[in-house]
Amino acid sequence: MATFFLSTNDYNSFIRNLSAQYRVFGLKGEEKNFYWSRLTAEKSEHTPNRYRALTPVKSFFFPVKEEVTAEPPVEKTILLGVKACDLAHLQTTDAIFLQGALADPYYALKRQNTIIISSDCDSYIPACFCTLMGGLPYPTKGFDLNLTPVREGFLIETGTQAGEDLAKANTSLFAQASRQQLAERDNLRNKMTELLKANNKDFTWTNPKDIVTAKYASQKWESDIAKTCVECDACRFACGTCYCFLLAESKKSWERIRSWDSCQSEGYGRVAGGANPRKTKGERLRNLYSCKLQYRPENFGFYACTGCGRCIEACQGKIDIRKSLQKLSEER
Amino acid sequence: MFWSPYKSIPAKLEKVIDETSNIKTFVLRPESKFRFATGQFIELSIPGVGEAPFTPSSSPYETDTIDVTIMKAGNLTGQLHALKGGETLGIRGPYGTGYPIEKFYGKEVLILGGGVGMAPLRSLLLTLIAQKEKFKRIILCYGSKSPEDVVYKHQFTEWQKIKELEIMRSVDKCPIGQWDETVGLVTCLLDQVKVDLKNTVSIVCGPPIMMKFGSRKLLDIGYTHSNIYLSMEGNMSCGIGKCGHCQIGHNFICKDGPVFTYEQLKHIPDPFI
Ligand SMILES: Cc1cc2nc3c(=O)[nH]c(=O)nc-3n(C[C@H](O)[C@H](O)[C@H](O)COP(=O)(O)OP(=O)(O)OC[C@H]3O[C@@H](n4cnc5c(N)ncnc54)[C@H](O)[C@@H]3O)c2cc1C
Ligand code: SF4
Ligand code: FES
Repeated sequence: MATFFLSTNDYNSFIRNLSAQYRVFGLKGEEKNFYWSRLTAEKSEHTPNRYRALTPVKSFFFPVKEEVTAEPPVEKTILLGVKACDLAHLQTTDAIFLQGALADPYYALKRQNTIIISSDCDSYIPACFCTLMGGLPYPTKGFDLNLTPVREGFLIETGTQAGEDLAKANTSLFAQASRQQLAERDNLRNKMTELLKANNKDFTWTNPKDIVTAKYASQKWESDIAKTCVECDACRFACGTCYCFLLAESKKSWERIRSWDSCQSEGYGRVAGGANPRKTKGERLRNLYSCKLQYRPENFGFYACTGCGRCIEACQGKIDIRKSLQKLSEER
Repeated sequence: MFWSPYKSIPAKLEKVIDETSNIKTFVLRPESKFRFATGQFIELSIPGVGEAPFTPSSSPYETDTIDVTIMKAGNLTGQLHALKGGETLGIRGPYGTGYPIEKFYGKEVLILGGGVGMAPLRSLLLTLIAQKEKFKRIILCYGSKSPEDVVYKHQFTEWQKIKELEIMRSVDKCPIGQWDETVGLVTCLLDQVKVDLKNTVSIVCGPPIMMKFGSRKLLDIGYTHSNIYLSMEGNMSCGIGKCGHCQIGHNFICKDGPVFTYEQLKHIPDPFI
C-alpha cells in the first residue's frame, strides 16, 4: 500500500469531495471533548487528529438502541479521524458480531458499508494508556486510509483496496510523499509513543491476563477495587468493546428492539427464581476485568481493552483500571 | 432476501397440558416444520410481552409440533401459564449444541434429572428409546419434591413397560403410604445403580443445587470429567452468542452449550449458580 502527501488545501478539497458523495462523520469539539459530527461539502471543518472521540466508534455499527427484526436502512458512510485505540476495539466487536454460527446482519451491513479513515494521535489525555495494552498511538492496521499531520498538510496511507480507490478517484490531489515527510511522521510517532509511556510510568504491570487469572480469589476485588463503584453503569456505556445487549419486545407486535446492556447491573446475570452468579459489586467488576483481559484473549487471542481510558473518565467512583491492576499485581 | 436471527416465527399454541401445580406442557405448531437436535433450545415469546429460553421436551423426530414444558417462575412464565390454547406465540431457534447421541452408542447411559429439568431429558429419552438397541443400558434416575410434583405422570407408566429402560424415582419427602419408590434426594438413587465405569456416560439436568451435588456424586462414583454431560442454566437474551448475558468464563452457554461436559467447565471456579 502507498503513502501520499496532501497539502492542507488539497486535504480540505478531498474531504469536501467525500462529503458530497458519502455520509461523512468527523470529529468536532472544543478543548477536551470531541464529538462525531456530520460533515457536509459546505460545512466540512473538523479536527482530524488530536485524540479519540468521546463516543466509541462501535456506536456506528452497534447503536445504543436499534430495531432488529426488519431490514435496516444502510447508507454509504465514511468515519474520519478514528484513533488507534478505537480501531482496535473493532477487532472485538467484529469477532463477536461477524463470527460464530450466525453473523449479526445489523452490525455486518453497517460495517460493510463504512470506510474508515483513521488518524494518528498528536496529543493525548491523562486517561490514555494504549501503550500499556500493547497498542500504539497511531494506527498500524484495520484502516482504509490513515492520516498523519505533517508540515503544511497530511500524509495519507492506504490500507485497503477501498482506500486505494478513494485515492485514485482524487488522484489530482494526491502527491508522492517525500522521504523527509516520512521521517517527520516517524518522529511524531516516536515522540507520541514516548509521551504515552511517560504518562503511564507509574504503572509497572505488564501482563494483565496473568494478573486477573492469578488474582481471581483476591479479597481486594470486594474490599478495595469495587468499593467505590456506585453501580451507575457509566463505564460500560463508555466502553468501546462492550457488545452486551438486551432484547426487548417492541410495542409493535413481532418487532424486537435491542439496547446496550451492562454486566455491572445486578440483574444482568440473574435467572428466574432469583439465583445470581454475580451477586456482589466485587464479583461483577472482577468478571468485567476477566472478560476483557482473560476470557476474550482466550477466545480470540487479543485483549478486549485497548487503553482508550473512557471507563476511567466516566467513573463516578474514580475506579481506574490501571490502578486496579497495579494493586492486584503488588498484592502478595 | 434479508433475514434477521432475532425475528420469531409464529407458532400456534395447540394445547396446554397440566403437569403439576406449577408446571405445564405447551404443545406448539410452528407455521412451518421445525427441526431441532435433542438438547438444543428455543427462544419462546408472547409477542409484545417477552421472550425466554426453553428446551423442547418432545422427540426431535416429531417436526410438526413441539412440546415445551414450563415451570411458572416469574413474569413471562406466569403469563404463559395463563394461556388456554389457540393463541399465536413466537419461536426462534433451535440454538446451541444438543446431546452428542452418537457418542453414547454402545454405552450404559445414565440420566439424572430433577424437577422441570426432566423437560430436555424427556426429549433425550424419547430419542434414545427410538434407537434403544444402540445402547447397552438406559437408566433414568429422576427426583422431584413430592409425588404431586412428578412431571409426565402418564408417560412414566408407559416407559416403565419398556424392558430396556431402567427407571428409578425419588421424592424428597412424602406422607407415608403415598409413594412406594425411594424417598430422599435424587442423588441417593445413584447408590442403587451399579454401572460399568469403563463404558458409561451420565447426563444431568435439574436445578443448580442438584447439578452441583449430582455431578460431585458422579465423580465420587468414578465417572470421568468428560463422561458427565451437564445442561447449564444462565440468563439469556439473544441465544446466539452475541448479547453476552449467558457467559461463564470464556464460554457462552447459548452457543458453546447449553450441554457441556464437566471437563469443559472445570476451569470455572463455581459454574453452578
Ligand atoms: C437453555 C435454557 C433452557 C431452559 N429450559 C427450560 C425449560 O425447558 N423449562 C422451564 O421451565 N425453564 C427453562 N429454562 C428457564 C427459563 O428460561 C426461565 O424460567 C425463564 O426465563 C423465566 O422467565 P420469567 O420471565 O418467567 O422469569 P422472571 O424471573 O420474571 O424473569 C425476569 C427477567 O429475568 C431475566 N431472566 C430470568 N431468568 C432467566 C433465564 N433463565 N434466562 C434468561 N433470562 C432470565 C429475564 O430478563 C426476564 O425477563 C431454561 C433456561 C435456559 C437458559
Ligand atoms: S489511548 Fe492512545 S490511541 Fe487512544 S486516544 Fe489516547 S493516545 Fe490516542
Ligand atoms: S444468550 Fe446472548 S450470548 Fe448467550
